[in-house]
Amino acid sequence: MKQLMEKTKGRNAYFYLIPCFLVFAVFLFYPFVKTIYLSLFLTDKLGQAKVFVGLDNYVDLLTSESFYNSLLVTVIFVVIVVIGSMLIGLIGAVLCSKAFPGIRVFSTSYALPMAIASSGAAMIFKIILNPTIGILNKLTGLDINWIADPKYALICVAVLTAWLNSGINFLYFSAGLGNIDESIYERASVDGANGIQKFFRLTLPGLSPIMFYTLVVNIIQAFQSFGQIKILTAGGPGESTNVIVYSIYRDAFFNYKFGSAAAQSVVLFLIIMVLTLVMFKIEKKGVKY
Amino acid sequence: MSEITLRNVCKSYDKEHYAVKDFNLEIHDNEFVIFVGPSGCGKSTTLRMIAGLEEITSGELWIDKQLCNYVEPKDRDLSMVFQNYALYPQMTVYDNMAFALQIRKVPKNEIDQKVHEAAAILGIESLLKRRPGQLSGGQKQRVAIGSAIMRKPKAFLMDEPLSNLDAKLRAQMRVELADLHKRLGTTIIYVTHDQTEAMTLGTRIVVMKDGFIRQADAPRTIYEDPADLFVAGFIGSPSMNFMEGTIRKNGSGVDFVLASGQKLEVPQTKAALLAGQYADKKVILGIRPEHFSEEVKEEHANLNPSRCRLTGKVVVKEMLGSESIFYLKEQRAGEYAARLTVDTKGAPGDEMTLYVDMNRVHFFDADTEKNIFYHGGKQ
Amino acid sequence: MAGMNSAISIELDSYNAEEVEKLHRLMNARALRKKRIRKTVLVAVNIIFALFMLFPLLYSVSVSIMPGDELFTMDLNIIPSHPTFENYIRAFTQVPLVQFILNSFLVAGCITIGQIITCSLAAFAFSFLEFKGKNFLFMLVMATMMVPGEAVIISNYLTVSSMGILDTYLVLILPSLTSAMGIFLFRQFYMTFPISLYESAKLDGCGNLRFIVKILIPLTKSAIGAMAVYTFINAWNMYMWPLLVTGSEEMRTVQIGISMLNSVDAQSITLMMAGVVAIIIPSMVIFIVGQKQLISGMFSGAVKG
Repeated sequence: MKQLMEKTKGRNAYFYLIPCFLVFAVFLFYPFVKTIYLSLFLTDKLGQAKVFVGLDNYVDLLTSESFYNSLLVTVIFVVIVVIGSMLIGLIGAVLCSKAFPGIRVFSTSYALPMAIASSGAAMIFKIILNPTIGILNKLTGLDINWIADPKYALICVAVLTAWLNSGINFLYFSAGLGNIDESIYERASVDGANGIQKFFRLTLPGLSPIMFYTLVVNIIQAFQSFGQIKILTAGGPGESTNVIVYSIYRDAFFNYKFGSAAAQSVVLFLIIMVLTLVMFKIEKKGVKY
Repeated sequence: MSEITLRNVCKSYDKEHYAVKDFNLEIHDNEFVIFVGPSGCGKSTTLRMIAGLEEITSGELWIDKQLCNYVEPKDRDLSMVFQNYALYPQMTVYDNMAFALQIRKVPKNEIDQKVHEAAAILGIESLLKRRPGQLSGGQKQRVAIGSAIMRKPKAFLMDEPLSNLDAKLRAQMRVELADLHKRLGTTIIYVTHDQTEAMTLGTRIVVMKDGFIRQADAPRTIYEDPADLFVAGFIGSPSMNFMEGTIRKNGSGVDFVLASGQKLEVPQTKAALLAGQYADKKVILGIRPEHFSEEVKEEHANLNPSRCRLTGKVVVKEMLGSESIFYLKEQRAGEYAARLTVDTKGAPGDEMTLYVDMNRVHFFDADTEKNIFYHGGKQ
Repeated sequence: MAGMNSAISIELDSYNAEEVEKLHRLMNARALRKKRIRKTVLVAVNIIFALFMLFPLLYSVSVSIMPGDELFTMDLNIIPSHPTFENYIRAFTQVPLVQFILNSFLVAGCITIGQIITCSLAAFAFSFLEFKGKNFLFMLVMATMMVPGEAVIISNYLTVSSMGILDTYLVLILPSLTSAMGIFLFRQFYMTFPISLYESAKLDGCGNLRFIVKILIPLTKSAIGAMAVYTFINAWNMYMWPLLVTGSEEMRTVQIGISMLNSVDAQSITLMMAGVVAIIIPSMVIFIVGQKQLISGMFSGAVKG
């Protein structure tokens, strides 16, 4: 009798998982497998697998200059975005770590970018960066065609993305700062530390647990940036902002090379997976409390 | 050589209520001064003002004859142990101890030597590579003290350092702290709410209440000659017994008459003053639990045995091994505790008659609560 | 003790009440000034930084109320000299902005409600029930966080097009009806409740669903609030998927609808900005209103674990 109850209880449990696993199955597990499958085929314009080519799509990728360019652009982009957004978030969090009149207004403004859509932000930046009417050139007195110049285009989208991603970093770092015990600062003052020493010896190390988590989330997020690139630069000029995600989109929906796009998707997944696993390995070894 | 002088030091947060008021104290070199009092009495605030963690509202703080009110904490050359230890969580024990020297740019090998010395003193050499999160409470405590003794500061400030430890560890650390004080030969200012710690550790005890110093004296003086009712009740365990009564002249002698009518004869040394100023007035009698006895002792020769007796019904008996504490109830005077020999017979419900060592009792003014025979620390 | 302090140092032996009093006054004034300066600097730095952070938004608002011809000058024109709401009127009349906004509200609302339901059900099973493969399934859910949406978007597109549901509300909603992060968040919250809470409810004859609705949901209001704010904003800001699966104007969400304006002639920049501001406002308002909820919900359970 008891066993029966246990059994029904056990079977019952799956019932609660059905809704979420149904969605996962149709829109994540199945397409994930299908992507791997597609990456081994040549496809027609409708995305139907036609000719099995084995690893040819991958071989093509690994021998194509454009793909290496994509990788390089992605790496530069991710590095700028992650450093930039974490720095902005950290500055905001430090500025709001001590109470002062109006702190709520400021902390809300530092967190606000997380509510802004990448597409809307990109359109705003497009006006700001416009070479003739844009406010940036007017304010700085420069005459640079920011978006059309391959030298600046990538930096522009990266800065925009850093701004967009900084909001949640501000929240993470604020929470991290709040977790640092106030009395260690008091002990440090009695021990003879000045403000700068306190910041580098206590505050930054005190943030390291949350810093690590934030780093992982930021890297994954930066890899997936799409809307702002599509609207601001569309991968150009040339291929100077053609990050992997945009390249996937272009290959699949403009060039109808679904097979190649699928192969790039698999590569993107592998990169993110390896990065995540490596970082967690490092964390387990390094940061101890 | 380091002297710390506080003159009329006050602390107020809102100009109306004072956390500390008119704090006057001279702390000499090599003293072990204890600030003791119930929570909220201003003892920690005073310590934090000395450390520079709180601003001094008014008054002066002199360290080594230099006015230090406005000196930054980092320039005061003190070292402090916090109640929650305040260990740096991301640093190893080694770095925690070395921190104060590292930021002073002391050469590495010198730091290394000092860390190992201090670790050896406290028996934490095996923990140097660990982080605070991996330590037990007692170990953290040692690390905090170890970090404090790395330097030769002008004084050590300790804010309830033992309050987070269990009873056994606390007793052990007490002994070690006393030993450490002897070894270091430096001034220690120590805050606690535990009167046992105060009595066992201090060379001088500062009893505080509501922001005021009630008495500052050597532990023995505080115990034997408390300034007022509060100090008398706060120091000592079990607490001093208080009984309200009236002073009445009785022929040539003077009696203290309890509400129940029971009379206790005031010894000659105190009779004149009481008869003069307090005749027919209410006073409070204070008797330490150990000043009860089952029999009349030799030193009571000057007392009339029939006039220093107190009866009561046993309520609770606590056997402590070396002695027994009896809690008795007198009809009108209420409950009182008596510390008697372990052989004393008596079970809850029994009537007992005890003799009071009237030579060593205290009399307090019922209105001002001051000790009527207070010597002012000078006996 | 050297430097500045030596200038103000007073020896106890040569103690002089007047001198000390003078010093007190001097130092109190100095301390007060220092405190004021510190506070002023802090506020000033914050104002500068906040202006810098909000600049794109403030500028977009400014452009959105600028008459078209004012934008096209070589002068520095941060603030419009003749502010006008005409751009907004044009944006709402010339573009089916209301339709876009309704679409987005519908889609984001359904996604939010759907995620809260599926995620809380799954999190309930993962935290209170025992069943075979529990750990494996949970790891599987967590592993999905590593799969970038873009990596499966092609196959998803092919799936929905073969299902024949392109250009419908359904296709916008379905793929986002659950999220690993939501399951994780709720589970973190549920784990803080003792299992005895569930067991005693069971003994009282309370069924699982009843337990979720009557006990769990009221206890996890803050997590639900955080989840709702976060999910709604993300759904509102969704871009790539709607871009792929919507074709007709009636189905477009705000982000797609507005970015379509991107291609029209430059004269419409001010109109476009008005549109952008109009669609940012809902997500911003929800964020500002729900900020407290979001922070307390996301950080009380999730981050520490």
